[in-house]
Amino acid sequence: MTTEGTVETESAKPPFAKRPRPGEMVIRGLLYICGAVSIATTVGILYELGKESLLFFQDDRVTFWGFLTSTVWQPQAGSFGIWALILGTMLISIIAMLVAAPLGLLAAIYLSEYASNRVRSILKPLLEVLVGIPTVVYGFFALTFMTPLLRGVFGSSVVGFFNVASAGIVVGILVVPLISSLSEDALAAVPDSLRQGAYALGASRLDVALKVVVPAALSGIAAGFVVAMSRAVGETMVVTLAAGASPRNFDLGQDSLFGYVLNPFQSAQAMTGYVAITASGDLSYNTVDYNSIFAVGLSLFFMTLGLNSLSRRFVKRFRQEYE
Amino acid sequence: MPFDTDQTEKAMTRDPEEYAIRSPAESTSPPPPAEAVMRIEDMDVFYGDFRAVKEVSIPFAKNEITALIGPSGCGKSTVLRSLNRMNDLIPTARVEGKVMFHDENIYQRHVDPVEVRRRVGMVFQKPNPFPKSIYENVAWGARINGFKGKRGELDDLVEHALTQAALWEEVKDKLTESGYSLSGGQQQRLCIARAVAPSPEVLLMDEPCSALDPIATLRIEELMMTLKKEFTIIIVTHNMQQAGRVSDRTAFFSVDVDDRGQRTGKLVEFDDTDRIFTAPGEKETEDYITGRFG
Amino acid sequence: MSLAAPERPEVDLFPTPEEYQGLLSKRTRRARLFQAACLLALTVAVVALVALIYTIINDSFGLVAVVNQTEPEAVVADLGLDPTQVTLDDLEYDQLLGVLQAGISSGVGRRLEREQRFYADRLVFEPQDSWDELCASAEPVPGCTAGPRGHANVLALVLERVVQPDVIATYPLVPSLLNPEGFEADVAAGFEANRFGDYRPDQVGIEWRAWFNWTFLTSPSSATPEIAGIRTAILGSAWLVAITILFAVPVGVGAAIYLVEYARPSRLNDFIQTNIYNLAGVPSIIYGMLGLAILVRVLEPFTSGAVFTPGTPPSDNGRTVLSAGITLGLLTLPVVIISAQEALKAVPSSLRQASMGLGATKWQTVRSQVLPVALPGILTGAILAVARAIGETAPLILVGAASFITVDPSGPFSKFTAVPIQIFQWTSFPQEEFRKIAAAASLALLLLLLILNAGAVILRNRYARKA
Repeated sequence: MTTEGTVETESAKPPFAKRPRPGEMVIRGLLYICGAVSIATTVGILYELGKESLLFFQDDRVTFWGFLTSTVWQPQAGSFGIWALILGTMLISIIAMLVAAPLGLLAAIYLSEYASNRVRSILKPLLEVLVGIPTVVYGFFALTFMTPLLRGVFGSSVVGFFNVASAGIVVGILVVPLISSLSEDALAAVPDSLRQGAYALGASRLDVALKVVVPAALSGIAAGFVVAMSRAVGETMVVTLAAGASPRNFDLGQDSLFGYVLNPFQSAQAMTGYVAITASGDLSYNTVDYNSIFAVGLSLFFMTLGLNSLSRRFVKRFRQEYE
Repeated sequence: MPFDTDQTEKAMTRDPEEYAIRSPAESTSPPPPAEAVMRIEDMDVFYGDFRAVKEVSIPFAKNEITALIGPSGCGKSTVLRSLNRMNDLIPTARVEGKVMFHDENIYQRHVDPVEVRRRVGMVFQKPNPFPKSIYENVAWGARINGFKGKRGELDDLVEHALTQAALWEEVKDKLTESGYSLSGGQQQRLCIARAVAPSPEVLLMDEPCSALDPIATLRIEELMMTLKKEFTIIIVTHNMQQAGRVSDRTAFFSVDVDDRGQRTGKLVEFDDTDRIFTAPGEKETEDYITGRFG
Repeated sequence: MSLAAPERPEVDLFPTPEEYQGLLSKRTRRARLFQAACLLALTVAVVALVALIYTIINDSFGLVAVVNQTEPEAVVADLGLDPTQVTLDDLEYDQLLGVLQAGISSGVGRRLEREQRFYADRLVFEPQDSWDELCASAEPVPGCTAGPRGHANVLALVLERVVQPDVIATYPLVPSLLNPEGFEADVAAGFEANRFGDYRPDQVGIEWRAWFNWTFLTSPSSATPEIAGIRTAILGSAWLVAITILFAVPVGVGAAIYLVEYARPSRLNDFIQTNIYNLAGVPSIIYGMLGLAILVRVLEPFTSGAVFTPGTPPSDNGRTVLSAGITLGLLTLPVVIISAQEALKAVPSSLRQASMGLGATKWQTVRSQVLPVALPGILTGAILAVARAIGETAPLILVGAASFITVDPSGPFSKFTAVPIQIFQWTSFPQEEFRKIAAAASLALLLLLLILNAGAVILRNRYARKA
């Protein structure tokens, strides 16, 4: 095409000389910028969260040490102990995992080891629908279905209108599909020859599933659990709507551990809930309240980052086992 | 190969009374075995509507090695897998006819395939150890099958199985290491140890050497000769020499192609290995053995 | 060969045939139980989905007990029409306007006219000279530029201002169908308990109400749940989605092309890849904080549009459609990149080699050979990512979506609300009626997502058939 012409007109150059292609370079540069946007996002997140957190810690009422050690979060009284919020987050996430881990894993085992192709082709999309439902709708569901259900079962004197259990169970339902699809991928990646080897020894389906396939897929399954945990920790809307808006301040020396501190039927604000509630009110820049949400956000960021890196490490190990 | 002649000699010097020798004319009908542990009687295997294998009848004699040979696609692996009901794991697979284990048809409705597989062990084409320790790989089958012994007795069982598989000396100091840390040939012997540990009567081997190098192959072949003292072995192999070297009897399969292009495997001939390889009764067998076909 | 196997130790340690049979049936039972447990787990997940949809539909329809300030029949009768033949909906525009004029004060009327006028050619409440003055001022009212109100709009105003329906009690769909008498009993009990203030039982009408209806979808928001709608929120969401797509799809696909086609393994490129996976796991609320700190606050002159229209007062803030759209764009970016990468990686490399072998440059190869093949996959991923963005709530709270706003967004620099924000607000209100419209808004959102996902599935299937 054009090549011959070009070569003839530039006959002074050797025929295979590298030609500059400015268009190609521009496009390459543009594409590179697109890739760099993700880095800019990370830098932006770290910079802004870090900067505002620093401002937060420079406030007279706040001490870094108190933030990291205190179990009382009472901004009006100048008490900013992150553990009160972490308690809420942890209670909800743990309840969520208690619901989601067995449900998700068993569902995955059914889909991978028992279900016929036809059943799988019906049930898998149904589970995927659960992923697509906006979390605010789950929040509505928690408040209008789960909370009345719990209050009906356990009595409304035991279960508060805002309570950790309702939020936790609904967050659990929300992450079930995450666990089941990641676990199913891990189970499906276990070579069929292992199943056959086990069957040939006289193993039942239960033996094969629980003693051969699940252990072989364990790191993949663990990765799914950790991702789900990270999602539960970062979940905002369900937690904000159903778990209440007051932090559960506690004193391990005085408060009863199961009656109050770990009580699933009373309200407890989570980290995400605090950020959302504070931001949805009138929020003026450069106040302690404004800065405090960034400090909480930074803690949240590191928690989820830690969980996500952990899960990727599991995935890597899983891949190494079978490649 | 030196062991080749060795094996042939061995096979030739067998007691003629133990294996009734038939005249060539009658050779298409199988010779009566000394004591058939398993017997396929007029079996067809279907995948959905597709008939993969038709009208197979073979007796498998106790403490002998029977080789199933034939061109690829002739259904010999399908036949092997019908012997411990591994075909059940394929949803569309269906077996018609009888597979007798002692005096019981393993395809009767009340028979649990789990029990069949406990008594008919299997070794696969590619080594497939579990991602567990060497010890656990061997002990697992005994354990799930209700082995009653205590820890020490289980240790003895593992040692015995690994010795039977000629692997004990190599792994006795690293029993807690992963099964994957072994070489391919060692892994396959580990799988053999795993298969013999629950004490089956029959051992099925589905091209057990096809993924191994010649040295490892030789070791497995030697191993089979010792194992047959205790087990009845049925082996599928692509390798003519291997069948000739190790087996006592050989079943030759080939393929019928109908006018719609469907390929159905069938048994052509079953006889003493020596006879199959020196004086086959069927032209088709001879063509295959001499390499003119397949 | 010389390896003599030692005698098997204690062969009878294996179960006897009888023992084995017992063991086997026990194992079979356990295996069946376990299978049932697995199936149960799956069923629970599906039941949860059903319960969720049930809850939403149950609250979106049902019986209500209404007290009207003015009965619609009386309004029709006042016009000299037969209330049994004619309903409010059937009235002419002029008639409706007459009813409205009679029912509201002139001050309210002027305010309504300044929001949006009633006729294109004449004024109803505002005198012409003061109107001209208003429109000539530095800050003209919206009515100066917007077109006139339509029939539906005035009908809604008549309902809101004249009929003034007050829903005093509601009943969910399923009991409404199965046990309508129960509702009457509830209402009667409510009167006995003095829960309905000054209303008398004879004022109350019990009627069916679909909280999810066309008027709900097309009316602006309101502080009164009976007449509140989600048009403002739907338009807000539409603007957000448009900006999200415009931002995330080109940048995401560009980044994916860079990573798959151009990037050689290097520290930096590995870092970009790892970083993208990390970003995909960052909670959405943190993106909201990023949007608040950078887009709303630092880049306020841009996101509020102040730099583009000199002279705008500094009070304008950055809590605009643009800030929120870019925030959602950043949030969906990692998902778009990852799915686009998958689609690009699925293109066989033989295609690239063939193209390069003909002397095509890298970009020619990518643009003419690789992209067309990968396009359906990229689009599917993008649709799914955008579907996720539509439902996001937390980041919008952070970047300051207005919880109450009745004016439609008019551009990227408008204040806005969005459907999920409305659901959030209405769910957190204590009144039952708000719960109902929250359910109706959820239903609308789910239907929208269903359409988007169906689109993605159709695309994927078409793609799968071709491949």
